[in-house]
Amino acid sequence: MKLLLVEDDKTLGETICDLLESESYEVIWVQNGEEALDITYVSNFDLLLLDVNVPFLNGFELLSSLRDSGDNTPAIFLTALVDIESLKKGFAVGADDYIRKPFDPTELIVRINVAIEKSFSSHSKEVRFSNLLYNIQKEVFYLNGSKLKLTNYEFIILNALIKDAGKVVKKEDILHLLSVDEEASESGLRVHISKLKKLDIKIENIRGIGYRLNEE
Amino acid sequence: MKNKNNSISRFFWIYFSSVFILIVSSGIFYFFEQKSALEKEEYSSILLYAKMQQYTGNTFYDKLFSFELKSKYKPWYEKNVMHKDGQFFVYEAPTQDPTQFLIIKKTTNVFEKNRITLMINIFIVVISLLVVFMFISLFLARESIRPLNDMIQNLDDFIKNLVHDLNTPATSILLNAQLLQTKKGKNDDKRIARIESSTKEILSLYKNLSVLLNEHKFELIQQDISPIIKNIIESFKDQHTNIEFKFISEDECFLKIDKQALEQILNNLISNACKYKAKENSFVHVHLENRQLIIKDNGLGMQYPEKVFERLYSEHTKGHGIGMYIVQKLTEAMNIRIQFNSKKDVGTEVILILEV
Repeated sequence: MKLLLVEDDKTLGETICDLLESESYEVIWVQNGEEALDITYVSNFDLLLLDVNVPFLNGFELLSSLRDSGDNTPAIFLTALVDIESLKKGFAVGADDYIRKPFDPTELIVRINVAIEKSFSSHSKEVRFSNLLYNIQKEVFYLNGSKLKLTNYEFIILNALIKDAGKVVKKEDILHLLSVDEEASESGLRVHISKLKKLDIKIENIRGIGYRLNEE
Repeated sequence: MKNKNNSISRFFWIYFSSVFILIVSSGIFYFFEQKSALEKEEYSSILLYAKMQQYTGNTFYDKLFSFELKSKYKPWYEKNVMHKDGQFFVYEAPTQDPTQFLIIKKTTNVFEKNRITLMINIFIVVISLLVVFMFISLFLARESIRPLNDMIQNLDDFIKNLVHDLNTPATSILLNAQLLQTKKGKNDDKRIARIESSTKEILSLYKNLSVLLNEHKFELIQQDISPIIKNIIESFKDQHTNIEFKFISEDECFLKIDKQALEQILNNLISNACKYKAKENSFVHVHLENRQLIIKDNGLGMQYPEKVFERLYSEHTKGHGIGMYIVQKLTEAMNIRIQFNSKKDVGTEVILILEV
């Protein structure tokens, strides 16, 4: 699980990294809003942890511009701002949760997990769709009970499809996720999809639009 | 907000009620003054009428008046007074014949009409004056609490920022302490170091606040300030690895100075330079030459550098406006002159002239 932490205080930033890494999350930590924006263009994250008072581009502006560009990565504000107006603003710009400092480390972990699960429209550690099962924590897919061995690209594609299972996921959105790792082309995507189909995963090609994960 | 409205309404009622008493009482006095003038007018018109009757041999006619001759004994000491009798003013005028009196009656209709008009006019003037003064009172009430209100607003922001500044190190201490307890990972030394650095942060805030409350006691001792400066820069170097620090100094610089106060001045100045650093290639250069200490950065700078020493003035969301105020207080106490040059988006240069 890969998280982006935006926190300008060096000591607290290191501490939160330490905390999350000891819970086996992968954490990328940046100290200002602009760096955060830059890194979200080149990497995908499972969750964003944002402080509000960070230099150059504050947390609210950062999340707002991410949401405007269509980035729906779940986001949690970690902030010392305790007033209701800030809380309102946080949710208005598209936050999924809002944690006030100081917080309990366990609470942070719980809230992170819940936010990630919700991004899969799930209320537990697992997402089940038809004969497919995805363990969010372990980041592993199971088909009919047996573990799937997927390449990195196949994993990203299937991950995107199961987040919106039963709905059409746009080709461009998947390509956007993939372009991070390779010069993605539509034909390349088609190759990956057909490999997944061969594994007996019910993916339907919606011509000209995208793909949909179907029930059996 | 509620307190603010309370004080406005209190000020308002104080202003307004005193003006109310003044206006209403002058209205009443004016009314009685004018009323007696009206009565005098009536009296003189009756006197005039009596004269006319005398001259004309009781043949003069006026529709407002009536008269009759009466023989009546009237003692000498009884004055001729006009009095009101029901709907008439009555006056007993002497005639040529000492046994006879002319009883003159004048209807009070005109007088009553004038009296009521007077009353209405005064009432209208009083009410309109009250309305005008009501607005003036409201304006004055608002104006009089405005400076107080601004101060409360500033203090509010200050406390908010202070809470924020305490919150971050407190969170970090709490998290590190809990991480130490879980014994997960092998970063215990780092965790302890982080607790220490967060505690130092809180301590520096505490020191600033105690200077703000005049609790610092100065101990001026002759000493070399160069190593003190060097130590402080070193501690900032550890905290801010992405800023280039440079310290250029003569070998020794002995001054009679309070070490703690100097440390605090430098801490505040350098932490500002770090807090408001440039996006890229940021530097903080410190020169100690010819009894001048120069701290220069290429950071965000200030738009209104003339306001830098104002208490609670801050141009950035991260500042609380006490650091530079304290720098000024401490330098003043040690007779250090301070020059502040800053330009927005270019950088800041602070010169301390150490001719103590």
